[in-house]
Amino acid sequence: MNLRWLNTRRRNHLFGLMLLIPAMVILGFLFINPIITLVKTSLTNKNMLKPKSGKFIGLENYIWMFTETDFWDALGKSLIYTLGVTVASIVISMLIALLMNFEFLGRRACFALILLPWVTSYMASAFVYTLLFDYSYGVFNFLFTDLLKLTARQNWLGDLKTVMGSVITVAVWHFLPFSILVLTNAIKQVPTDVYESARIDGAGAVRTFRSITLPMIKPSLVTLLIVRIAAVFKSFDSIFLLTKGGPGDATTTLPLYYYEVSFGSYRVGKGSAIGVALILIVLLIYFILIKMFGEDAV
Amino acid sequence: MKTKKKAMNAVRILLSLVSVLIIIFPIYWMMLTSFRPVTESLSSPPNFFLHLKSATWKYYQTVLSGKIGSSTNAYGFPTFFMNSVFISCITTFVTIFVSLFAAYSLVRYSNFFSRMLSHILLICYLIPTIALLIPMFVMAVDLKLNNSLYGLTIFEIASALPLGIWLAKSYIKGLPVELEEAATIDGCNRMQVIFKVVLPISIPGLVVVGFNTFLASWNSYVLPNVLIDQDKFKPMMSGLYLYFNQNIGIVWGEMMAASILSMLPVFFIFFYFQKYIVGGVTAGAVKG
Repeated sequence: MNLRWLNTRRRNHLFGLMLLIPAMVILGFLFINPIITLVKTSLTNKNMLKPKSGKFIGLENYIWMFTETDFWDALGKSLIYTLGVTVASIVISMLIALLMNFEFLGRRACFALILLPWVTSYMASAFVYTLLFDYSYGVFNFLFTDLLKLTARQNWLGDLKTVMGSVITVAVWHFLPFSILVLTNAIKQVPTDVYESARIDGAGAVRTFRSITLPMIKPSLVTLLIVRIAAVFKSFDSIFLLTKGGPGDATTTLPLYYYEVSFGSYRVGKGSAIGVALILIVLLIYFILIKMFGEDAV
Repeated sequence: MKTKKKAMNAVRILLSLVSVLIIIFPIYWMMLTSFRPVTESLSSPPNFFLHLKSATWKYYQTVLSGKIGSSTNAYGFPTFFMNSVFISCITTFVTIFVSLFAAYSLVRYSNFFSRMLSHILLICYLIPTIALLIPMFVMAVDLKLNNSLYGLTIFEIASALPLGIWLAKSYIKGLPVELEEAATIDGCNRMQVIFKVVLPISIPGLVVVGFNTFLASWNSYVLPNVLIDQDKFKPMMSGLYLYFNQNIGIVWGEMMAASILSMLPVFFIFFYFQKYIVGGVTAGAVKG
């Protein structure tokens, strides 16, 4: 009896293992293997233009990276970009979620429309925003200069002063729908009688938000924050398709710098070192956020 | 009190509508530009409405014909579109099933080994795929997988899989085990349990996996850009982007028409499965 039980147990394990094989093969071969290759390449002087390169040079690439001002520049831009996009998208989506948190005719239709930027490709948004940011015919210049008379005409994507803000705007636009959705659902979960009693106790709107809504939706907010920060930090397409990192290197964040060094100037060894740094920084961000907010937030 | 509340609600509805309009404005602008002559699109002050008299399909026709202006590209929109359909469909199909099997195994046949694998999986899921461009490129060249639709497809599958398994796992965790037990008692073998019981009740979760995978592979730009340099094999986004960046000038009408056309499949799928997808987000599972 005991033996038969053992046998089924072993068979169970075998079956469980069998189900895992496709995933293990694909991830091992095409994900784990590349990570190892990346680390190995980062220790060589491989250059795609020089076929004989690829000699082991130890940590030289890492020393190069840490002494290169471009690297620190890119890291700084990444931090500005990440912070800007995360904070702006969460604040704006919070406002919209609070605003739309009541039943009205056409609410469903509104939500269906709001979600569209989420599924819009970065290529399409890069095209349309290039037109919207245009110096002579763009809607932004029309709105801010001709209509509201706030500033002089701007070359939004071509000017060092404005380009980071413009790139952040586009990314916020892409990330808004998802944040609105998550926050709306979180706010909906707050029981209405809590609000009711707060109102009877004479709490104002701001006080209600700070003392009831915010603590109640904190778990969703934290998850959103963690998912967002890392996703924004590693985003490539949204910047690259708009500005290619320019003008100059005004929008060259770390992923773009990695791409530039590896595929723009073919210094694959040096690029790999940046790639390793990129991975470690993203893991570090997760680690810090998880330590701050608890493990089940991911 | 009541009138005050009513007035308040009216203001809120108005503000809601304004924010919706601002959010969808770029998409509206895309459509507007694709439907009117470029002379009307490039006017200062801008024209915010479509004049029905001058509305035109001609940009859509040029894009669908695959030949734009003085373009020297032998391959255009139709080729890119078909390549993307091929890549995204296979990627989605494979990812759904591999994720289902792996996630089911990790949840139901949990042992020391699979728990360790779970941790590795989490790290894979957190690692930015963009950092793996170099090794993926080197591997693809070594194995002659560059400039091939199959080669690109397997790399797309690899980059979609960690998130896919992660989402499927969190969905399957919430399923009751009793159904599977009942099916076993009724004489289903283990494989039948998966296909006849687990698969049907996992559909909402798998739709989310599938949609995420399809969206990511359909919209992916940088990976195909690195792995493929022959126009014949280019998928949608990288193909179109480079197409419009050769020396044919800036053709706003065609660019916007191509953008709209390139997004239609995703829009349709999204609206069709919206209930599931929005539900998946509610569960706190989807990564945007």
